Amino acid sequence: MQTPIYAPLSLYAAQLLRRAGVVVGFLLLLQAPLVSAKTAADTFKGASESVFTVEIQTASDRSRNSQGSAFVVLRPNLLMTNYHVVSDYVLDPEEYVVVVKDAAGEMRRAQVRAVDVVSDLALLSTQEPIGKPLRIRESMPSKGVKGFSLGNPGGIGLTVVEGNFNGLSESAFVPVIHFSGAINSGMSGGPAVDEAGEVVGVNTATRRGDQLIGLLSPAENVTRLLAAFSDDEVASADALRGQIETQVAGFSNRLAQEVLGHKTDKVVSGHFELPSKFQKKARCYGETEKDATHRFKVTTNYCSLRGGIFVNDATRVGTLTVHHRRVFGEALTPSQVAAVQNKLSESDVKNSGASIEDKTVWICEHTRVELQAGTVGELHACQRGLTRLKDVRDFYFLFASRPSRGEGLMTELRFNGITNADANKLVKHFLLQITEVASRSPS
Amino acid sequence: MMQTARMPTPLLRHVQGARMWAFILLCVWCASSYRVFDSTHIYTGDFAAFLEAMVIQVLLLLVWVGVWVAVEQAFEGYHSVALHVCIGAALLAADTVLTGFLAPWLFYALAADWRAWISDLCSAVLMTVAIESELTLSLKSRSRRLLRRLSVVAVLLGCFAIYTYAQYQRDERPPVMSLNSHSDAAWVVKPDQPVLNFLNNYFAKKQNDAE
Repeated sequence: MQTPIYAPLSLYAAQLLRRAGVVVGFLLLLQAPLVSAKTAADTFKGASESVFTVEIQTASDRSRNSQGSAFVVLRPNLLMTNYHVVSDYVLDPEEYVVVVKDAAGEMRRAQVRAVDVVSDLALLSTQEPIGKPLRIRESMPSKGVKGFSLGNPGGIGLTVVEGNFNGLSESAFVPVIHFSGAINSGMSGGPAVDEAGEVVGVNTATRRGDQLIGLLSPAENVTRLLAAFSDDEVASADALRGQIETQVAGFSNRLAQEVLGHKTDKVVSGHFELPSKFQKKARCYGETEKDATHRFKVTTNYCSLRGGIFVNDATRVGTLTVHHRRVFGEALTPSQVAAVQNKLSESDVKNSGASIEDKTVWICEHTRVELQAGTVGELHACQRGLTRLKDVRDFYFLFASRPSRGEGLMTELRFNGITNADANKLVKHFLLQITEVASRSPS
Repeated sequence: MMQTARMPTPLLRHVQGARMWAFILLCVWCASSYRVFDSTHIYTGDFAAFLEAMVIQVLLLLVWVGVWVAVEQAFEGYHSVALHVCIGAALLAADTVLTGFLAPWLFYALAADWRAWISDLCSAVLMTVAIESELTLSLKSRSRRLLRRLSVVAVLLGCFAIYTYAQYQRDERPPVMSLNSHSDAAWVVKPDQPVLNFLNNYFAKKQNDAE
């Protein structure tokens, strides 16, 4: 039987194709890092005309106070950076000056023209044109798209860092883009661009304790700030502080509306039904701790809306925390329950706000209240003012249930940088959701 | 069996004597302090804190007695340790009872704003009474009557100055909350107010302050 000639030929052709495929694949593999390196190098080369270092210097002796990055947008003399980079100047313009420094080390004075504290952005201008504006990308890149973050980390020089865009963070109330790349201190205010060199976001923060979790203020915030910016008038210090006041009060209102409009999840702890996850971005956890003597336990349910708005190093506003602790132990007398409640509350107010700088002293009132029929206890209501922001305050509420034999509840509410009206709505919203689900033993 | 010429001392005189009263008052003070501690202690470290507080108070009592013995010796030429222990122990016992039991109860019975300073007021009044008692009993000469009267005014002013300063210092620090630190019976003294009433007043007041 004659073997058909096409069989070995086709076999040969197939082998040839496979070999060619392997060779092409191998070449592509070799080529891949070369293409990437070339793109990063191109990005760096193009950005050197658009990315600058921003320094805040003391007005008296021009020593450096802080440093960040900025990039040129819209026009050759306009630069975008983070609000937190220039916050000291905005809040104390008599004490500081803003200086923009190029790669060659040449310095120019800059003015802050507009701020958006909620998105952590500030728009600067210089007297003369200094660079080439970067284009702003209009759409959000898909997860995994490669990008480059630019800036001057630690003042060591303009740097490009490769990473990936991973969409909006799912845990932040204020939208931020998650960028998997090494954003370091000093790169704040620099741009994060895609492969086409268009700005996707502004380097804003990294997550402490995590690795390579960079957070960017989305490019749409840049577009919005530029659209609202009027070139005709130079913003005075009072006007900038007015912008901050308005934005913080508006954020407080938005926060309250979001919480009040969200159906709060409930948890049952002992004889109490308690409000828990109060907003979809709120992060909650729970735990039960035993006392060393094993005479009682403390169950914790804690929810908070993280982040808030940076105003200055001492002031972060727009944060909410709901913290329940239930003390229980069969052998505890009511007085002993009260003693544990006191012990747990000892450090509460001290810890509500790490710094007392820029804040007035706490003023507290307390009384016995009835939340729902039969749910009674002491309510402590404390508030303090923020010297930089007159429309918002820090609020602290502590409800301690009337201790019964074997059980007591403490609910702590902290609202930082919230308006009086919003705090009023929020505290009622949370307290009125505390109910007793079964009759308690008489004390 | 021989009998001495000395007449036996009636027991009543011992009971009425300063030593016996000093002993009784010291016992009352210790018992009331332990009762206040026992009603709330729960943590392992609480007993050490209780002992530390007691040791400090014993030292204060010794200083008190020492000072008055010296004053009495200087002005009158004699002294009575038991008398001063008696007054010092009475002061400590009364302070423990008032601030440990009565003040938290009075807080609910009277008005909410009292709690911040009612303990200080009780202590100030007790201290004034104790010092006046010491002056009256130690300085018996008629010529020193004016001195005693002046001293009452000075002691009152001094006490209020100290407590006002302490209050001022307390305002500078974060508030220390005292939760449910009252006797259980206090709950029935004053009805609970609906939480909305309290919050509406609270925020209305804050709004007015802001304006």
